[in-house]
Amino acid sequence: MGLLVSLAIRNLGRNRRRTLLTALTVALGTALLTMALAMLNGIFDSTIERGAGMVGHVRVVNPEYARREQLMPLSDNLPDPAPLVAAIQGQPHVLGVFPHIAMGVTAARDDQEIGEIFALLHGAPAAYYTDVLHLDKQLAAGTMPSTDKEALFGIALLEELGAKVGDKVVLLGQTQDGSPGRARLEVVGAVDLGNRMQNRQVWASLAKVQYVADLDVGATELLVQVDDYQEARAIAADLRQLPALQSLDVHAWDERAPFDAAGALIGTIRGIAASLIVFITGLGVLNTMFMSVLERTGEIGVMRAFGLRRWQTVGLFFVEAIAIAAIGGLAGVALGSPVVLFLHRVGIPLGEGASKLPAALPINQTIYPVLTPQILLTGFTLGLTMALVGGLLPAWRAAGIEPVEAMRHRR
Amino acid sequence: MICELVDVTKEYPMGELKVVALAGVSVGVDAGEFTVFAGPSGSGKSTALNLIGCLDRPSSGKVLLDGKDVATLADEALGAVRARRIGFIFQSFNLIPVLTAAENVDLALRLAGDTENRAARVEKALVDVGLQDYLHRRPSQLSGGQQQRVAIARALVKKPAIIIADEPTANLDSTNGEAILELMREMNERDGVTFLFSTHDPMVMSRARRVVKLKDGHVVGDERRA
Repeated sequence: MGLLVSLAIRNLGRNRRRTLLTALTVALGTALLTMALAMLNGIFDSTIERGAGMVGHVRVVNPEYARREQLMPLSDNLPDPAPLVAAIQGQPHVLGVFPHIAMGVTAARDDQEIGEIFALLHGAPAAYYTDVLHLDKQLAAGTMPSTDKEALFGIALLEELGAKVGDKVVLLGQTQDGSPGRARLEVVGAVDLGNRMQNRQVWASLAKVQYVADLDVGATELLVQVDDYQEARAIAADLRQLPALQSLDVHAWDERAPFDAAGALIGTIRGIAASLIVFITGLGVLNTMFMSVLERTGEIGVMRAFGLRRWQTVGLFFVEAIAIAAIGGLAGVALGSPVVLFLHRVGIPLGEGASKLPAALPINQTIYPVLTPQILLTGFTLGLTMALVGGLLPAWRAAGIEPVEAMRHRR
Repeated sequence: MICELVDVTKEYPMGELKVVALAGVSVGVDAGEFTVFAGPSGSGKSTALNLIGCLDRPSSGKVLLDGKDVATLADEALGAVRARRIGFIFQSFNLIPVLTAAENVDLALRLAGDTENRAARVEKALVDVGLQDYLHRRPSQLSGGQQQRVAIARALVKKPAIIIADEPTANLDSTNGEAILELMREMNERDGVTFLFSTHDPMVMSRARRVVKLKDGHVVGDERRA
C-alpha cells in the first residue's frame, strides 16, 4: 500500500498542469455543490421551519376537523382545550402549547360597505404571535395589540382595504353554527411577512376570535412547539400515548399537507442537484484520468511485467484520484464557503413569483443560504465521490492492460 | 533446464485471418547460458521471448519453467512467477520516470514481495553496474546507457532464474551497446546469471555463446560456441 501511495503522489507531480486542472474541476464542482446545498438548506431553514412553526410542530385537532380541514370547519372544534394544554405542557421537548382558531372572513374599513375582500383571521394567545411567529419583529408600522379590540393586519390586506394603522376594520364571518359573526378591530400594527399571500391575514386575540366564531372557550386546534422541529414526528408519537389525547388527531408538521410532500420534494431536489454536479464533475475527472492512463500504458505494462497485480493497478489510479479529490474538495469548500457566507448576509431575491405561493407553504421572496458543518462535510465527501466516479473507469481500463500489449504499445 | 518451449504454436488474430508467429517450436535454455534468439523482423523471436517470460500464453504447446507448465496458470499466479523468477530488460529501458535509479531497482523487489535487506541489495545492484554515483538520479537525468544499466540492475536485484532482454542494445549507440553487452557477459561468466536475448544485430550475436535462429516462426538453426 505504501508503494502505491508513494507512486501515486509522485505521479501527481509529473504533469502538474493537468493535475491542477483536474483538481480545479473538482474544486469548482465542490464549491457549486456547497452553494447549492446551502441554498436548499436556506430555503428549508427560513421557510419550512417557519412554516412548520406556523402550523404547529405538532398539531392536536378533532379527527373530524382533520378530515375536512380544507373547509376549516369551526363546528369540529376542541370545546375545552384547557385540560389538553395542561396534559401536553411539561411533556419532554415541549416548549409551548397554543390554542388557535383560523377562519375565513370578509373585511372592510368601518366606513365602507362589506365587499369582496377576503382575509384569514387568526385567534391565538399573544405569546404565539411573539414567540412563534415573531410578528413583533416583522412590523412595518405600529405596535403589537394590547387589548381584544386591537389586531395586526398584513400590509397587502391593508393596501386592498385602503386602510392604515389607527383605522378600524370590520370583519364578517360565520360562527360555528353558520350564523353571522362580526368583529370591529382597530389596526394597531401592519405586518410584512415578505409574501403577498401571507400579508393578507389578520392576527387578533384568542378571546375576540372565540367571540366571532361563538366558540366560548374552545379552539379549532392546539399548536404545540417543540425544541427540535425535525424530531416532531417522534414527539407526536409520544403525545398520542397520552390518555387525554387518544381520541384526537395528533400529527407532526411533516405528516400533514403540504409539508409531507415538501420534505420529500426538497430531498429529491437536493439529490438531483448533487447527482448532476457529481456526474458532470466526474466526467471532467474521467477525461483527464483516461488521458493519464493512455499516456502511461507502456509504463503500466512494465510494472505489470514486474508483478504489479490488477488490484494494485486499480489502487494506483484510485489513490491518485483520491489525492486529487482531497486537494480539489478542500479548495472547493474553501472557495464555496465565503460565497455562501456573503450570500447569507445579502440574501438572494427570488422575485415576485415566490410571493404568490399559498400562505400554507410560505416561500420568502429573499432566501438566505445557510452553511453548516454537515454541508461542508457533504460537499467534501461528494468531491471525493466525483473523483472516484471519474477515476473508476480509467483505473479499470489500466488494470486490464496486458503486459505484452503494453510492450508493443511502447515500441 | 530452466525454461523450455515444447511444441509451441502462437497465433494472433488479424481481422478474419490468423497470423502464425510461432509454428510448433521446441527450444530450451539451461542455467548459466548466454543465448540469443536471432532472426529478422517477424521471425517470432520476440514472441518466443514473451512466452518464456510469462508475458503471453501459447495457442498450443507447453511453456516449462523449472519443469512446470506455466501456460495454464491464472493471471495472478503468472504475475507472481514473473515477479519472483524472471528479470526483464527492455529495448526502451522502460524505467519509471518519477522514481530515482535506486527506487526503480527497489520497485522490482517490492513488487516481488522480497523485503529482506532491500536497501543494501539495491545499492549493490547499482554498484555492480557501475552506477554508484547515480543512485538518486531520475531517468531523465541519466544517459541512455546509464538508463539501461539501471534496467539491468533492476532485473538482477531479485536474483531471477533467467533474465530476458528484448533487443537491449537497439536504442544505444555502438559504444554504449558494446559496454552493456560486456557488462552482461561479465555477470554471466562471473555470477552464472542466465541471459536470453532477442536481436538481429550481428554484434550482439557475435558475443553470444549460443545462437538460436528463427525464421517465419520456425527454429532454423541452433549454434553453440565455446
